[in-house]
Amino acid sequence: MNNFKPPHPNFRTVYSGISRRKFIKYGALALGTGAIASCSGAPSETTSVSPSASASPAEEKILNVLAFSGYEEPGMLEPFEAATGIKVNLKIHDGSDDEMIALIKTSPAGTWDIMTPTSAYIPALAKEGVLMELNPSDYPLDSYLPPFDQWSTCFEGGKMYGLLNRFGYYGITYDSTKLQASEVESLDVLMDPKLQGKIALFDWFLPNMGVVAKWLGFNPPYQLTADQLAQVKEKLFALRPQVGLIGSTAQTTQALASGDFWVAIAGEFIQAGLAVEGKPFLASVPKEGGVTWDQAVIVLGNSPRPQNAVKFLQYVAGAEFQAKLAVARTYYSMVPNQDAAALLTNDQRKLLNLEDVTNFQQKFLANLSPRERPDNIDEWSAIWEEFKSL
Amino acid sequence: MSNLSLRASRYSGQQQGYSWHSVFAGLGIVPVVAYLLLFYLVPLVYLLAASFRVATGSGIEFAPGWTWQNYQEILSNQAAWVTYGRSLGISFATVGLSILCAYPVAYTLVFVLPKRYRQTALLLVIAPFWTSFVVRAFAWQLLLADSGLFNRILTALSLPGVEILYTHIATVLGFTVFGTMLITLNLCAVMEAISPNLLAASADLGAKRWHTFTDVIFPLSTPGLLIGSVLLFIFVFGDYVVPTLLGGGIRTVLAQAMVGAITTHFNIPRAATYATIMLITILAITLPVLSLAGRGLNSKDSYRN
Repeated sequence: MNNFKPPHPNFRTVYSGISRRKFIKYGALALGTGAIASCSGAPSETTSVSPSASASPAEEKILNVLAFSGYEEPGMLEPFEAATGIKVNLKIHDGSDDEMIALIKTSPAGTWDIMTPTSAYIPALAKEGVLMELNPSDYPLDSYLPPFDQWSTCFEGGKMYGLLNRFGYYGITYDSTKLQASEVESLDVLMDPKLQGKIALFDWFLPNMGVVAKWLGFNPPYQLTADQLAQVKEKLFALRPQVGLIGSTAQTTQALASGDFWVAIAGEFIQAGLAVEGKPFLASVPKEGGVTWDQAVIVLGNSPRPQNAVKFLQYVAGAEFQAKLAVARTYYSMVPNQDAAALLTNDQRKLLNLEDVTNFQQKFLANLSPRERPDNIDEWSAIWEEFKSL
Repeated sequence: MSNLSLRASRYSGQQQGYSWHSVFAGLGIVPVVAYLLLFYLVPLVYLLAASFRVATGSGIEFAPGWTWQNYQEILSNQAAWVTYGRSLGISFATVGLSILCAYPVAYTLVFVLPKRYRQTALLLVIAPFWTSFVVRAFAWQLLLADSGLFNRILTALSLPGVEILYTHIATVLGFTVFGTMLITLNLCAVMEAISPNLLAASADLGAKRWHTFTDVIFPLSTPGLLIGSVLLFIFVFGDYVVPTLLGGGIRTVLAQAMVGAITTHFNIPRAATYATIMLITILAITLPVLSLAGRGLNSKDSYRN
């Protein structure tokens, strides 16, 4: 028996030996399942209608908008379409600013009219001549909270190119059943041994590293010397054992909601939604400060429908739209039009730090630095990628 | 009958020289070749070419000239090697674990279960994979979280809880569920094809069930095992979703480094370099395995025809 050596099979003969029907059956099953697995792994996009690049001199009653999520929610754009008769072809962008800008730049001229990048990207785009100049008097900037009416990154060379319509901050979001308010007064709490593996970070290097720069006392946090950036790297890497997750907004929010994670470097965009659902999360700006995030609306320079675009910007700068955007299901955000605050409920105003709009700048923004785009951004992102690989 | 002879004469005519028929039939291959060129070769050449360029500004435009810079930067970066090793480790662990899980399942389906139940049982193995991959990953999050079902059961049994979610143990588990199904299907295909004459002969020669397994079934099932393993390796080595959703975005794998190159600042050349490194690794591992699966001929009698 031990001498019995079965012939070793050969792949080709095995599969030729198998009946064709059987092979097709199993092959289709395997491939089909693999295809389902890989296809459904692709990032999803909430898309309504694909944009059209055609235009007529009289301006077609359409507008092609590429925006971060929130704009697609029910009731957001319908009033604009009803009032102007302009059909908005909205595409929601799930990725980063860099990907959004790459998408715009690789699309044929005139494909897009509007996009909503972080304002930090506006000056460079304006210098490249990609953006249409805006006339400040077209928009209700008088109703905007200072300093958002003159937000520096919306301007280039004294000309206005962007209109801020959403912002927030990165500070400390924490589980109030696990940490006291007094404990989170300083960013030093992040090194507390009891927080080992309990910190969740939003996967975007600029805000997280900006907060670390503030922690080290570097102000402004995005204009660092090589030595200062090395110190940021060292501090960030020291934080690594405390971090249990680096994820998307949804992933970070869910991790906190589950109770398994206690702290995130984040503000209301993660905390407010949790609080509304009755989760015991609070957010605060530590004494070292934090950084802001924002989104601005811009018009592409080659937009074939500039008049429609201006109407759209007027709409999204208005109180009615911003009040809806502030409490969008996707995430909560602060909004610059102070009349929008009046349209929110007391609880919503409290949640979004918009109770005292007259002293907002002095009280709330004093310790927050605008999120910028450093010139040596490649070095920053390389540090972040290495941090994630640790 | 006349129809047959007509067909025969047509074919014999074809052998004598080119005919319009054969030219016309030859044209049929054009769409296939065009498809392959357009959707495989062109992107592949672009990918390889891009990896030898350097991004400027927004990352869409490339600086003039060709360079090894991306390869030099990645290969001299210790963190990149750690990432690479992690990808390999996760892939091998998944393949190993999947084989351990899949083999008993496939064996039971083909040799133990009565044939009339086989289709239903196979369907049960496959059915969970008709749901979205992402949905399944999220479901695993709920099971594996510190406060998830798995830990609640441990707690109920007065056992200490374990932190699995957002570690690569969770990544390997997530992949293994898929891998078990994939390898089971491949194994079933070859096992079903093993000639019953061999099993009968083995029994006639006095082999016990175990010896029939080690000397007949297992050797004859290795091609299915190897093909399934290669398919699984390719999938796991390149996947971004499971390490992100279950591994937690930390201790990154190669696919995450590649996606990071795009999302952080749209560096196409850097991403292309990672992709090329992945491609070379996959070829270096799969080609020898496939040739192993194809070695040792003369097995025609071992399988049903």
